Amino acid sequence: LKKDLAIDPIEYELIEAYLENSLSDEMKAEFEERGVNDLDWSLKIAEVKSLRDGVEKLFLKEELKSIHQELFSWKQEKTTNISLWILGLAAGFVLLLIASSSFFGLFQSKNERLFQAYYETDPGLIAAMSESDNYEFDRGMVDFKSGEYNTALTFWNPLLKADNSNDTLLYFVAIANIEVKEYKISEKLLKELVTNSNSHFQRDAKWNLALLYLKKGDISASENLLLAIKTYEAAQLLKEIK
Amino acid sequence: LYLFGEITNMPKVSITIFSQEELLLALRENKREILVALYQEVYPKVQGYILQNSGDIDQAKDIFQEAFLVVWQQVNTGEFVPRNTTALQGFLFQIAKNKWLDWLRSNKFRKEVYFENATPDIEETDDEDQYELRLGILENALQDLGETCRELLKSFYFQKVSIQDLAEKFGWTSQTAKNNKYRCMETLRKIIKK
Repeated sequence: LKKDLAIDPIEYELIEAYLENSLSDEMKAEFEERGVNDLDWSLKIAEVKSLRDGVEKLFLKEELKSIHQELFSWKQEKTTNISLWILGLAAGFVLLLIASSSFFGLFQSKNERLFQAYYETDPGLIAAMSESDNYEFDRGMVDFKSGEYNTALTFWNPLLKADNSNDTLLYFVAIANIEVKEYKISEKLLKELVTNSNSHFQRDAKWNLALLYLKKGDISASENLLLAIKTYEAAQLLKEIK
Repeated sequence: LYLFGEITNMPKVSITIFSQEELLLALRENKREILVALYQEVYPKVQGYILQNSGDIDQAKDIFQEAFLVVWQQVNTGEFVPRNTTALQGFLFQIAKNKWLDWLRSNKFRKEVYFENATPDIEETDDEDQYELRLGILENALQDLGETCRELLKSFYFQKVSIQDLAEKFGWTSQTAKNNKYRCMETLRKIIKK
């Protein structure tokens, strides 16, 4: 890589596309053909690849330092120098927090409180990413499980638009929408699932739809779904609603 | 305060909910949540091992981060193939452990006394030495790059942000984003060749 190679922007873009495997078969053949006549061509490819890989690795190195700092630097802080008044202040702050949350809780509706108490974030699926047609779904599932629901939806919404018959996709799009507070969209999708008796997600769809009905104050619709679920949790919630 | 620290530093993501395939995919894309989760899962074990075997916390950190880079490299090249549900975590620990044992052996061999000044030194081939040397030069060059260039290159090559999203982020057209990326890489090449 010592040779001073001139790489123009078009060559650079072409080499990057080759390295990213995004050239068409025809362009790839032309690209490789060029190496036969242009002796510097393979050196240019090696140089761009080395630069790209190096840059990525060095940014990762920086990221690891930053992660270590975030996760573990606090452990080295000494606890012996903390004055009592700081601890007192912290305790006072915690008490104030508890008092204020109870105070604001008074203004939260019973339905909302029950929704918050019973709604649980779905942990997502363990997906095996082997089939290429599942790639987009699985890729979104990684984001879903990382709590990045909007990103997951950017992968899933186009899939759902193309084909809304996949109950797994339908269910997780509905749940992701609850997480981003798009309750109406979620309600619409869950309604499609609760009538699908062949779906493994039917019961979970009923449960989440019941919670959404409860949240918006449609008690009878919520109760009807809860009665149909017949689980201990549903029975408990029914008791609390009454 | 210890307790507060523990709570605020808890990861949002538990690594156990991911399959190995998902972890590899996320690692190839440098997803921060996964880097954090993997770090938090394995580092304490590596630190425990190194502290029990004549090392200190700084050495544990350096060895672990070197091992992390090796594992990441092998995941990216496809050399690492998981064989069970915790293979990646186990592999990371094993690489770190081997690196530490290599260092201990080389340290004993050279009978180094100035322990606190010693840096992890693993027997490397000439090719590896050359590679590390080039990476060091690149690291310095990256530091000399302007802030916008660094951000641009980090977003594209590390965070895998698309050209379209980059253009939007910086308020450019896609073509300007491409041109600027090219210019930044060229600047980097020139600094290295000086």
